[in-house]
Amino acid sequence: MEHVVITGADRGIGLALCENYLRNGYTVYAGQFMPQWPQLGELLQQYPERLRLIPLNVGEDASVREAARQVGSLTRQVDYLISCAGIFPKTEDAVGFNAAFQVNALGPLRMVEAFLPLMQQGKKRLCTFSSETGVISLMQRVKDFPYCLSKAALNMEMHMLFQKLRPEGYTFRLFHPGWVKSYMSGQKSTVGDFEPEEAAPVAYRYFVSDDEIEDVLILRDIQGQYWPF
Amino acid sequence: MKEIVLIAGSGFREAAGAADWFRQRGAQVYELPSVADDAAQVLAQLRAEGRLDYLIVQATQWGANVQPLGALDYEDISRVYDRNVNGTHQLVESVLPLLSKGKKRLGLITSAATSIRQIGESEDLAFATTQAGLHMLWKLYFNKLRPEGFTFRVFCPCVDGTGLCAGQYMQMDFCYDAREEYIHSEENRIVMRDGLMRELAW
Repeated sequence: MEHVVITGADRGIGLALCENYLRNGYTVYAGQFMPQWPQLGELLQQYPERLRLIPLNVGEDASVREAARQVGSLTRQVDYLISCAGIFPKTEDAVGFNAAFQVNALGPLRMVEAFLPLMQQGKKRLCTFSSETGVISLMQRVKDFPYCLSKAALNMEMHMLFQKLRPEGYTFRLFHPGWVKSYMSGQKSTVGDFEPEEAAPVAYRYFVSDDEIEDVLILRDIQGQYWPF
Repeated sequence: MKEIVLIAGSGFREAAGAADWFRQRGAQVYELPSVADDAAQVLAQLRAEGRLDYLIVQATQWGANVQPLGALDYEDISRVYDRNVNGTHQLVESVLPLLSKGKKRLGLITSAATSIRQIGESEDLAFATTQAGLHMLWKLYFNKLRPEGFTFRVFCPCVDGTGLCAGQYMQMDFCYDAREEYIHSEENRIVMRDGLMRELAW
């Protein structure tokens, strides 16, 4: 049985991804940022043996370290680390820039660093939700500065991790889920091309696939198309 | 008419060289050693000038406590990002009204070592993520301000000092003809180039 850690699992695509992994027999450690939000609890009732809820704020070092300690007390092996947590700041000021950077860029980095010891014996797959908003060459927006900068920083960081960890046998999945009706702004968006439940199965299949390009870091979207940086 | 230039980040060698280069050619040059410095006095001077022709930024600060994976210093990474990205963003916003009355040029001095696709084995995440953020910032400003006539430069000086210096590159005008198709004008693109005018991948 393989073990999966998923951040941003309270709702949206993170929650839907938990369901996909659970339905396919994995044990899931779901990073829970909002204990008051009911859906993870409902999922726990369906899968009490294979779902573990782990308090987690990827924007805080101590929280991430404690989450790794808790998961480490439950299993000696993590196979997949999936960074899904993200925020979309409402303000384009220093507060917004820093908040986006802490969660969207440094969050996945904190997770990788903290969980590496648990991944050494596992499948060693690092899966990260990126975005076309981090693609400098094709950027067409004239706003959303904090979010776009944080995703560009994330793409840079993933390349650095790739350089470091690919020679150690780690494999990477960098995924752009498309325009999902997400909760990133605080409440579920009423606009978008995909429901979380539509995007998650595509992400799941990409993440578990062993027949992918492994020696070049690729950003792939929900339609299977590849993006530059 | 004397050109008015603000060099932010003149604590770095390349930006200081750009300041000298413009000054030697008769420009009125104002300097901030770092983008994170208090700009109130310089802004007051620029307001007295009534316009600004060039804003040239270099924010290539390295992490102060670079550690390998397993011992990363997130406070240091965050501090570098905050100082350089927020400092640059705030400075640009502050001088945009003055730039719009001048030549309307925004220049960024960066590093070829921070091309996302060509990042080497550096462990300085503070430096690399900050430069990626700044590259994106310039692209977003390009999208927003190019229709208003602003022009943009992103320049990576050659590490061995060959080729163009930052000042030269920032002052060069690229082909632009409003009568032509949009794609036919170099000023309607934003690219990153090194001192030998080679385009670099973002």
